[in-house]
Amino acid sequence: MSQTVLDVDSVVKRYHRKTAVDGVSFSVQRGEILGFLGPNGAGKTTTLRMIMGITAPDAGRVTFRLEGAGGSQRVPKHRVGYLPEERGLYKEARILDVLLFLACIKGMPKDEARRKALDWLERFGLGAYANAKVEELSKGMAQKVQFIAAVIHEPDLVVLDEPFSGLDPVNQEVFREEIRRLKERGAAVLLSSHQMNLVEETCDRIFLINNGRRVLYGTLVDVKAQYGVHRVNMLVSDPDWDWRPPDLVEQVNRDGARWTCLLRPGVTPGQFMHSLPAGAPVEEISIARISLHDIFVRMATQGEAA
Amino acid sequence: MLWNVVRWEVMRHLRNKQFIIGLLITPVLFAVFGALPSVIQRLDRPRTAAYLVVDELQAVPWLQTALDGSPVTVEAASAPRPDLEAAVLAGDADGFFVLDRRFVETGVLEVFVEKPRPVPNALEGALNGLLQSLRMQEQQLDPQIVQYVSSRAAVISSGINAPEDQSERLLAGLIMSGVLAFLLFWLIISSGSMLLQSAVQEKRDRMAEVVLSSIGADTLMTGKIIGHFLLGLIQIGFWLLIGLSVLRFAADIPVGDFIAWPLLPPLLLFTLLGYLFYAAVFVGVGATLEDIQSASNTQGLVFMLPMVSFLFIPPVTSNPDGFIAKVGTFFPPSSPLITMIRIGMEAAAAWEAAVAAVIMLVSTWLVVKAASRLFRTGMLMYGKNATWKEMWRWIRYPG
Repeated sequence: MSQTVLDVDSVVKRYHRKTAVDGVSFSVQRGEILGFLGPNGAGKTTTLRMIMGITAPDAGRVTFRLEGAGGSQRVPKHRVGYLPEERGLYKEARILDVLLFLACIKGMPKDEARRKALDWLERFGLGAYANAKVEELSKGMAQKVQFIAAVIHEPDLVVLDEPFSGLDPVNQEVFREEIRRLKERGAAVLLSSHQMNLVEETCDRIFLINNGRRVLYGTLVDVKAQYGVHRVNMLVSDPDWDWRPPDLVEQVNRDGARWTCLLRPGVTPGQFMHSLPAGAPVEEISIARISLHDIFVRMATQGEAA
Repeated sequence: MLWNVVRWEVMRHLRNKQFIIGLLITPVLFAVFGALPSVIQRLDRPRTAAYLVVDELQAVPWLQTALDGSPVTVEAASAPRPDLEAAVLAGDADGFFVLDRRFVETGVLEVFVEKPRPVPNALEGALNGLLQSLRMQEQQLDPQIVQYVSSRAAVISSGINAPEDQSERLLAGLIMSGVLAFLLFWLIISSGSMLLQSAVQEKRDRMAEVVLSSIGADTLMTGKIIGHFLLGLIQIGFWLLIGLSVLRFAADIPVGDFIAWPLLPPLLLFTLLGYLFYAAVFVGVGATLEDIQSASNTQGLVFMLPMVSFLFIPPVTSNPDGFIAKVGTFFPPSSPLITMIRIGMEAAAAWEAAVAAVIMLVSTWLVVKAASRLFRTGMLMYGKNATWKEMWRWIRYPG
């Protein structure tokens, strides 16, 4: 049975005359990864900061339902891990010292923090750097240390804001694997990212925010079913084929013998196939739902237009 | 959590090379610059100057006795003036002069030298003494009576109900309040500067949000303030230890006699309040700045605030019960330093010190509150310095 760990209920945040977040609600379950998506300036970071208690909402509430703690609107900081988008490390300090400090302010005993920090550094191939200064690390290495700092205290809820940004594909895969492990351990993960392919491969559900409001919310399958219209790619043998697309097609692009059609919401591949005239000179055809990236772009653009 | 932040701030600075070098080098610099003038003076000890005297008054033996131990010598000469001039030009003597009746009557003496330059102080002093002695002889006055008549009055202020050791106590209070006022100022300047830079560095290193997700802005700010206070105390304690050891064991000065124990608690209270007041200002301002460059520019402006106290010092020391002294006591930016000086002079009434302490407590609380609001928002703002308008809005915004 799923257990809600984080409940965000109708939170509002205003800065001066601008409403940055306008009545956003969602929840994150134990052992789940929720993708928190949105274009730049949509209100993601503000929402995450409200969850982390760094800024207070003007209305609505954030409730933490952690095992043994009941429902609380105070952030149980020692049970929550946070990797912010604006992140860094104390440049002149030693790596192990930074990790110990960050673990200790999360309430971890120093000895345990030291043991865990060394374990994590070994796991990320940074064991030899424990006593090195932060300024000696490459960007990818520093990001690994930042990730360790966010999860070293084994939090029940992990909030990751753009964890993949600036990472090469190999390190992206390493991070994705670690995020999956957090989920397997039973942690609830709230993951904000612009890398849609990684979100699609990693997340169980997604929440799309734009202009401070909810645009999409649900499982990947549901979202794709609801908003993921089908795209048809056709290669025809007759470049001069005179075909008038039926009403089932919302948008069509033609490049010589290559046709690309976007079907209207609700139209199935079968309906489209039946609509093709007999004897259509189709050489190749592929019909697939559009990607999360396309859904994101469509929804974000529509949101902006609205 | 607060002590984790305090420990972190203290330990990372104690491991910082710049801090360690500053800690060790400063007393060395003080010693070097303190001793340098006297060393330089020794290196450039004036050579012995020799003067020839045409002595019509038979006063050369008197002068030789007066100049004994000084780098000036005089010798009686009977040669004619052209020969004396030749001797000076040849470098055999630095100059010559004539002691005759005219000197006794007019008090004017012309010293002939190769190039005009001031006569050595020792010679001028000896000639002054000679003139007075000759004139006293002329008037048949006993030099001892003259000294008795011409001695200056020594005016001593003595309180009617004051205990016998009042003057010693006053001196001890003055020295201690002066030393503590200097330490407070040093704490404000050195720790304040480190605090301002520390807040900017926290932003530069993009650590603010990471840390604020674990602890509140108030805790982070307070931890920084206490941490840098302790660092300042470590610095000052180390330097005091060296300084007092030198005074006690090398110069044999009884340092303990200069501690006015009854004044210690109020002086320490004002030192602490003064530090907290200014530390909150610096850390709040630091949070609104984008980078070290802006911090350096702003630091000069912000540091003008503690300098306000110095405007009050001359009128306060000349009239410690006056109107200006009272304004300085109750005006928060100058209150710690001025009240400490007045306490040291035993010029601040108990009620004045109490009111000043209450004013400082309230104003420190207000400044800490405002600084924490600036800190809370400012630490999360990247890419620009905050404007005055923004800062005012943050201070008014409670949530």
